[in-house]
Amino acid sequence: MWRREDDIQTMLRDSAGDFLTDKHSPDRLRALRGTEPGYSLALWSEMAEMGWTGILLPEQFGGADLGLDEALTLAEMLGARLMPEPFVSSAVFAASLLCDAASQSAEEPGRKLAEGKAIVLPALGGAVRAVPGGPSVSISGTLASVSDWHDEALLIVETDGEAGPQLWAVPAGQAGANPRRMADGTHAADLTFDGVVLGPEQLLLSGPAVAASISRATARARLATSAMLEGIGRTVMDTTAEYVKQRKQFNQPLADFQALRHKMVDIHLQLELAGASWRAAAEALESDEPSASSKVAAAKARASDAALAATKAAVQYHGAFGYTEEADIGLYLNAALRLSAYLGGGAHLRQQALAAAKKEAV
Amino acid sequence: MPDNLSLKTEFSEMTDEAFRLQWRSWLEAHYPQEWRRPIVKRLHGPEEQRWLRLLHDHGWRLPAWPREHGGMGLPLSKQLIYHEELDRFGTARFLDSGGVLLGPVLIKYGTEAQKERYLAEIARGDVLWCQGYSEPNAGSDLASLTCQAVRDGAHYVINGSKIWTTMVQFSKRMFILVRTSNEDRKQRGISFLLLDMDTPGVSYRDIENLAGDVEFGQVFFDNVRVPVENLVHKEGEGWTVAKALLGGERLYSGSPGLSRHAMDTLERVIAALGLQNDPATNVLHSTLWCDVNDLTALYSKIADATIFGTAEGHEFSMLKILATELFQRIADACIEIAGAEAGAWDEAANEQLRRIFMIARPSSIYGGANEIQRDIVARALLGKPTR
Repeated sequence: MWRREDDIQTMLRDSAGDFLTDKHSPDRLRALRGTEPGYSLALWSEMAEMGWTGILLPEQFGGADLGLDEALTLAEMLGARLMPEPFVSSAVFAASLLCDAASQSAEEPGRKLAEGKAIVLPALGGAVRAVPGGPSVSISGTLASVSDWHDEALLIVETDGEAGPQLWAVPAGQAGANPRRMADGTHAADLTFDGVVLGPEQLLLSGPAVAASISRATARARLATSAMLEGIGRTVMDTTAEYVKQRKQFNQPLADFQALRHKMVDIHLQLELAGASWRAAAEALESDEPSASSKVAAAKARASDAALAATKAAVQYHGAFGYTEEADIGLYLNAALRLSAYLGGGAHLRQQALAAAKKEAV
Repeated sequence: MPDNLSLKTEFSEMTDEAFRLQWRSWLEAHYPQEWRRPIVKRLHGPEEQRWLRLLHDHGWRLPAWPREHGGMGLPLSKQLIYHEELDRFGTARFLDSGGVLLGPVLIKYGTEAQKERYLAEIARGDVLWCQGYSEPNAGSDLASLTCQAVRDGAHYVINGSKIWTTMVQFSKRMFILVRTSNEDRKQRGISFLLLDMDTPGVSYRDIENLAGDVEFGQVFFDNVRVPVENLVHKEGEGWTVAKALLGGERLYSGSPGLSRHAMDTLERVIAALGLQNDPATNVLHSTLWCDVNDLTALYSKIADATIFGTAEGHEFSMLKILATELFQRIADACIEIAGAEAGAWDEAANEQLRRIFMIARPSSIYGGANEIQRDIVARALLGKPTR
């Protein structure tokens, strides 16, 4: 066995296991699908009590002040159990941006996030312009695909304009939103801002620090998603292994057939590569190595593809039953579909990895 | 032990980084430049002996052997660094069956007389050994071997044939698995013998491989008499004996080294043909780049686990499958990228692409065919087949 963890991670894993068994199940997930937002604010609040929503946030915000390693351990477990609550986009991505923000303006959103009273979501990469008007600014423009959309979330909106790149805390209700349902029951919203007025206390970050913060937060979120995808892949493979060992046809367990055995080995190899890749990328990212950029892209690409391969094979080896709504396999397949695309899928990120590697080599 | 060893700080007292730098400096100063042709060059016979002798004379021979037998006695962490640096430097492949496969067997199971007789000459590079395992009817199913050794007084008499015997052309001696009895469990009737290749009755024929090298052959045994003193350990225990390996040997077959060198070749071909911005080339190149990146990460994790003592057997099998198939896919990509020139016998785009392509083929066959390796991993995931 090559996966290792320290005592804090083991403790996190054990307490998470108990909590998740108690509070969550595939049936809860089914019940949430088709609702908006597709996850539970009440449970988000309970996750806050476990210290999870503020896992990366500093103590001054009421956070647990733990590191990326701990967040990734938790992400893997949440993926394995198919928790729909927005741990990655809020407790990792948005939290990471808040950590970089000027502490006065970040304090209120940070505290609310740590206490589980708010879902804070990144709203980046759009074409939103900030126009100064006295002490306030007015923002206008469009922004595509804010993941884990909730109409009462607090958004961290990226703007451009005379003052250069900036990040603002903006209540979701101030945006015109067009949410669409994603494969796993969460929603992604395309936003329009039409002259929304913001006060200076809403400014989180300005200048060159914005790009650096987004880059680091995106990398962390990609790794956390990779960990979730590994959790999904390994869980579904374990379930499938148990099934094929007991399901018999032609007087023998399906697990006796070499073609099936070898195919499952090949999927296992992809999941092992994924697990090693994101862990190596996390080490590089936390040590500020120049190679981090290419490694993070490669890790997310691998995790995306490995999870899809595993969930597809799980359908195949469960036979027709795998292709039903009532089987849990479909829940894993849909989660893999959504998360493999979130923040970049395999094809796109492999090219990005090579491009980054070429730059790093110079 | 050569004198200059006493001038060096104890290797195990050095930090890993200091050790790495010292070994790297030595390679830079002493490694024959004409041998710096990774993948395409393997050292044969006199060249291999020259290399082993050079290592021996400078105290860099046999990182995994105990010092009392002429090795460096390195902890596993430094053995891994040793191999990493050889890979990184871009050295020629070499077999060293005596050092890698036989040495650990004799160290663990040999008599004092056998150790004295054979270990030092292996360490000096004076004697090259070949491995007599596979037979025409026993490859992956090695335990079904039928090459027979019958006890006759103070000798065993061997009759039969071995095949795919690598470096038979250059070997003075052979260690051989023979059947000394027929048992219910076929492994139980196998014994491990040591044999001089110039013993009457031993003959061989060359077999040329698809890379154009004559490196292996078929060996024939016609009433070959071997002294019973040449039995290693007990009669009928040969199967167990053959499994003894030292240090990281099981790990190296899964090393990303060959893939990295193949990737260097691929990148040179891409540059030579001006394909750096070609979209289709980019898709292929980026896929393989990520494969090398991820294999390197997994290899590193399993190497660490090997040092900690938590690595499991099937994890070495996993790496062997991944490393060999990646090496092949990169060699395949070189051919694909080279386009119309790729079918050349000799060079294409200034690289020995056909040769690299061919050299990559047997990697999924030797060292435990990948089908068998997948069976091993499957057993870990799904248990043994019930029938």
